[in-house]
Amino acid sequence: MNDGLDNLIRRWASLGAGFNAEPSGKNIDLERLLLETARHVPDMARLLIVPATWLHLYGDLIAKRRLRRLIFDELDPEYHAILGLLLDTAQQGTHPLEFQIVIKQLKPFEQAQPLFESARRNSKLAELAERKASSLSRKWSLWCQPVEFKVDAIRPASWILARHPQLRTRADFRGDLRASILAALRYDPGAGDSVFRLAKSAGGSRAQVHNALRNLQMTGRVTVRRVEGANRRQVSLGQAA
Amino acid sequence: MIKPTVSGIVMTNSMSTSTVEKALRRLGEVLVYHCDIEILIVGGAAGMVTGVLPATQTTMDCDVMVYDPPEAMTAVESAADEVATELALASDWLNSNVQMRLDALPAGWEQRRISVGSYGRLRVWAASRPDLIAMKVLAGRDQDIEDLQAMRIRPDDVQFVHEYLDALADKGTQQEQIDDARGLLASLEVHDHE
Repeated sequence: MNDGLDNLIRRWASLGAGFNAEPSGKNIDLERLLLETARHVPDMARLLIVPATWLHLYGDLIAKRRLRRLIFDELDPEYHAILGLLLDTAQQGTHPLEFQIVIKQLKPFEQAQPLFESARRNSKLAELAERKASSLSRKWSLWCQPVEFKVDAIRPASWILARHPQLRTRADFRGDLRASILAALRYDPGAGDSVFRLAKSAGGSRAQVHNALRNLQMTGRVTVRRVEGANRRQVSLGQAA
Repeated sequence: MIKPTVSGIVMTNSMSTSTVEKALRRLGEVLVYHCDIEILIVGGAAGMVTGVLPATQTTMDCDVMVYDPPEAMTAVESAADEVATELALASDWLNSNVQMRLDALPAGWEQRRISVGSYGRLRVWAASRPDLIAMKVLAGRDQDIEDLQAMRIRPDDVQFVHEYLDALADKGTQQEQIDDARGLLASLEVHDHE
């Protein structure tokens, strides 16, 4: 197994996704983790099944607007459909559909093909993949069999939040714009240099971000200060973040 | 680290002690029962503890296909609940759902099973490599196909699975599933060496 995939699995293990791997990573950028997962899903079927189950259970922890922004800024278009399929699978049975705000921006793969490398390399397996493909995978033009959630391999929320206390706020916000703002401030260098930059990083309009910042400031999760000699305000994480 | 044995020979593998192995050990420690119990695990966990599948390719859930005595299932599952709480695992990390497909276990598995370890009154066995291959060909899910490729099946494995599939028809398994399994088997690359 290559180092990139191994490292990815260890970070998922740290988040309570039940791979038999030594957990690693204390301060994981969840949204970028999803982008990286999409890049590796073709290498390993369980990277669809286990993260989809995790997202089905803990989708509230994902900052959706920031994820949407990162997809278009950092994820090669060839992986958009894979991430679409992952999120679409994860949101099956959720009401309202947890990731719809992200998914509606994504397009199916241009030419239908097997999702997994194991089938792409072998014409007989490719035929099998097409024949057994789920309707959801056909929608994304990436053939794979129906995914059964593997909840028996996901650790409880208490374990995850004890290991990653910064995710508690995301859970409280259910992944709304405030979660995106906090994640941008934590992981995107320079995001807090101005409200304009913060809005871009968090994936909201300036008006929406101003509104969210009022709430975050009130609860001590961010501090906002005017930059001397410049017509902008700097935003940084507060003690309560 | 658990060192699986088959026919009294110690099998070694290079894995560090996994969560599954820790959980099985703890399960034996907390289990209370009036006689010795044996269980047979199958699926990815069996592949992992016997070293035929890479640990990182498997998940920490444990499918138990056989309990001996069968009445011990409730006691084992109850102990597993306790272990789940203690080790912060999913509540059904050890489950018996696969028992519904007991017919899928190849004949003669008892002679091939691999000892994982004895913990208190609990003895844990894992399905052998050929048995895992046969059951994965029958299941034929995307992750099974990847596992089969990782296990690098040999001509003798192919022969074993053909005989297994022939026998399944008499056990009431749906013909369509058997045909799918034959199609999958024919699609897999066969290696001279493991």
